[in-house]
Amino acid sequence: MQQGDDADRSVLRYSCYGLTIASEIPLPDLAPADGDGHADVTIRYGDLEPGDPVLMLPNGLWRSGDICGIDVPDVGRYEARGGTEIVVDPLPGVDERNVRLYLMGTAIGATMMLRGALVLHGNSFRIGDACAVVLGHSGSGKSTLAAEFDRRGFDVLSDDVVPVDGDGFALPGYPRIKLWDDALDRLGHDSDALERVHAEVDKFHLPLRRGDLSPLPLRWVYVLERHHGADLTVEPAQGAVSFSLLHEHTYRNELVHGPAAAAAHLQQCAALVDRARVRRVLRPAETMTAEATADVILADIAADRSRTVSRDEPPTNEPPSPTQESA
Amino acid sequence: MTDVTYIRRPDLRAVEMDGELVMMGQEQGEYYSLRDVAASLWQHLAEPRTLDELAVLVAQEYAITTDQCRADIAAFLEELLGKDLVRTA
Repeated sequence: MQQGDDADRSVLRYSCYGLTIASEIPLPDLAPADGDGHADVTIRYGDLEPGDPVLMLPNGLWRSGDICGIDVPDVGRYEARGGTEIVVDPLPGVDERNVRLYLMGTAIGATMMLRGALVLHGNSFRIGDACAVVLGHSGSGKSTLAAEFDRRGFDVLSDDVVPVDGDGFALPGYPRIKLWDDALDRLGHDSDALERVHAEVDKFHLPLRRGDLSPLPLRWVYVLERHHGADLTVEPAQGAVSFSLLHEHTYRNELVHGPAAAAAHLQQCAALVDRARVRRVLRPAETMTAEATADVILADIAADRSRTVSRDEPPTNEPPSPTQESA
Repeated sequence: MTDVTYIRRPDLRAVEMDGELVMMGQEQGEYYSLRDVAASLWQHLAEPRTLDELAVLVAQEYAITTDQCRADIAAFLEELLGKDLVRTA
């Protein structure tokens, strides 16, 4: 129903995650898109009812079929509908940066989920013609690590939200990393020159140095965890452990709700486990630098590449799985 | 007792990851993983099976006697029943 608005000059066009987005809300984080034809996703203002109390999930989220919603205190409501439309209902007078933060986070993340992607909470960076993703909880140092990869000249695909499509390709998002001011200081950036993520929070957008990127096959998954040991170690994960890690670090995994969504998510995770190696990066609670973490991750990738390159293809001598459910 | 048949719930999704079966449980966010004999039994439970039939199948696969595995299988079936992952007929 937004088609009729395409002629409206207040609708701006952007590209993100391989989609063309037509938005009534200016999104300066995103690359502008040309043309005035079909948009994959439209973003518009509209009035939204509160989520049905029966459907409420934790953290202000709700899901009803192919509609995902979130109510953000002091910001407003958002609904992602069917993977093609996002409706935003901000509270009066809210700073537009705060509105954009949840629009570019939860609302776009939910949209990618509704479009059939496995949406992971982490950062991804390019390794040759493939990519790796680093997953971790908020505060685990993911973004600082992404900035470290960027500093070393790696192309960072996206920050925070990594959608993986049905073919196992990670989709590049917007070329910015959100960093706290102290992390910026450690990396030698001056936060005065950067835009705040949120009007009242000392977190800033650091522009990435990369140019345009195509979707890249996701080959390596690293999960940042803390442990009580003294050493920084990388441990393989398999099977159900890999699944539980992917589930835990699925972006806004509360929205994987209901039998259909859960079955699709389980299938997406199984497909990813077939294609990518999942590893846990166990870091001592104290004194863990982004530099040291980047070093062990890159060393692990290099070791894996030297193995698989010498064989040309990753080993696939497993018998075909007889376990596919027909039900 | 021996003519009771067990069958897995047809609506439960399971997928294979690195040789393990990972399946959804009944509750939102509840998952189980099955390996080895347990995964094999789950495959057999696609059709209604008695305890004796399952014991014969497992005994053949693992080259053991039915007496060696029957009690373990019975306990496993009870666990699956308790979680409402299989049903009896």
